[in-house]
Amino acid sequence: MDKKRFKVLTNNPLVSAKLSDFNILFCDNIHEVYRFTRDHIHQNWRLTTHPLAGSVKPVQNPYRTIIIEKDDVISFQSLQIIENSLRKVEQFSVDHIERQYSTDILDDYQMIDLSLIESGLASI
Amino acid sequence: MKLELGKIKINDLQFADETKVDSGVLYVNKDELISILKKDDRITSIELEIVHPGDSVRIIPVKDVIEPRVKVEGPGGVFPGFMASEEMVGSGRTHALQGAAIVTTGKIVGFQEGIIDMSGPGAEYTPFSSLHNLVMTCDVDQELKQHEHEEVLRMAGLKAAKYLGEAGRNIEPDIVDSYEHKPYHEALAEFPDLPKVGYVYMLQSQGLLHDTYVYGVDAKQILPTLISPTEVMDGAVISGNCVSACDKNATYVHQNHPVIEDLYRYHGKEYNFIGMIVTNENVTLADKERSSNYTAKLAEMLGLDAVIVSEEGFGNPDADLIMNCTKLEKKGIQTVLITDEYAGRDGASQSLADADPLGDAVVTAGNANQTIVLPAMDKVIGQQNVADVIAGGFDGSLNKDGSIKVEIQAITGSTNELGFHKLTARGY
Repeated sequence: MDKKRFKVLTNNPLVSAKLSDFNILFCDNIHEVYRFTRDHIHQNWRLTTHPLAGSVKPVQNPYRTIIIEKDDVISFQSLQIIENSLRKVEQFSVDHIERQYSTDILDDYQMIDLSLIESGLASI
Repeated sequence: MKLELGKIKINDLQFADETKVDSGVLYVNKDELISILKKDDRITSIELEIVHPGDSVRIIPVKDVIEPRVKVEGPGGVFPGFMASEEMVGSGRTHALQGAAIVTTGKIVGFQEGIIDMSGPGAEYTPFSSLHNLVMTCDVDQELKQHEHEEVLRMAGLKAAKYLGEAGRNIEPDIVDSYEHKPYHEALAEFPDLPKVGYVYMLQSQGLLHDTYVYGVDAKQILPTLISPTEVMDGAVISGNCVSACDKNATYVHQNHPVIEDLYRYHGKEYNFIGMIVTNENVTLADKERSSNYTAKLAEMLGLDAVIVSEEGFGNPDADLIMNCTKLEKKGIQTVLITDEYAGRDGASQSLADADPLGDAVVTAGNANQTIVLPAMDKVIGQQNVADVIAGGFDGSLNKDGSIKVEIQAITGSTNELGFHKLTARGY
């Protein structure tokens, strides 16, 4: 795998530590992860991993990681997927109350997010 | 392949000195079962409790629900690849203890999901409240990582289901249903005037807590493949899925697959049920493209006219659902999709994270964002305090009086995408 082709957008410190040999854009929160991903797609990056987490609901997990890769042209498929995902994140945000999780739960959420991304990386 | 499924009706479940079935009662030797389960030295403590329909009991968080079964004739054994060899199942005879189940609980991660209320309004939303359940609560070595913890609970559940199933080996079933899956050249030649219908069975396969196994193989590692419906009914597919309580397929649902049963029910009358394709739901778009391309190709190779496609989970798998749909439709194969909805608490938002005009025939299993108040129960098995942090729960979900206000996505099986649940819509 040519790791230089990819960029990892994440707000998950565990991903940042484990994938330190990738080009990482560390974000402040999941909303930045999604917004910055969309911005990159407009600049000819395309989605490598799907932006929505497995079946953990959008916003429920305070961490999110998306991998993108450089292309020569804009990917309208990626654009459609990120726009649909952004809409779902906004929808789930309406009923979501920001909260302080315990360290244990935060660790578990980081691990779940990392596991999904590692599962994706295994097939790249 | 011809499978006879013998259903032994279980009307009661009790602890006793000997594990046996007698006059519709399943007796369980608790100490013997615990000693078998504790052979796995990663388990530090284990509790078994019996709950019945109508009991004022809440089980939270539920990991899996499994029907006890035993293979009495023919090749293979129950739960191939885990509890039995890699021999193919789906033929011969299997006995099921219908009406009883193993329910595994245990907090693998802090936000684990899944509520079964055995009575009250919540019981109406889960199909598992109508069963006599042996509830297993395990503690494991604290050094274990989450994926090992999941494996320990998964294996303990399967072991317990196998152990209980043995009690039905020499019992004459109340009902014996027979299902046959013929070789394709024979199946395709039958009922020439009826449409050739298949089934695409999507399985969660995205990583920790999102996994499903086919003959013991993690489904993320397979290419879509043909499988006999009788193999699925005979335990070839096992759940390792701990998230998405409302719309994951518990092992019990894989074993008692309502889509397959209905496809058999009208086979030869309304259509010719040719067979099924099992596929996965992975993380990368490339994997999603490959699997959906392969699924559409297999359906075309079989000469199908139409297929039913069922999703498991929500969000990211919506992309797999729509890819499967559009690629099949573009090959001239009509699709009917089964999914559930996350349309917001008011039901006004778009239901899925993906959509396409070609997906014009969709069956919904309900809106998982719908809220419900679950009154306090006299007894809680597990950890009620997780109610505030599970999916469908929110700060303040758990009230001081023990009642819980949640979205129905917190309830195990409430919007099951195989239709194995109680929600329906009726016109009056």
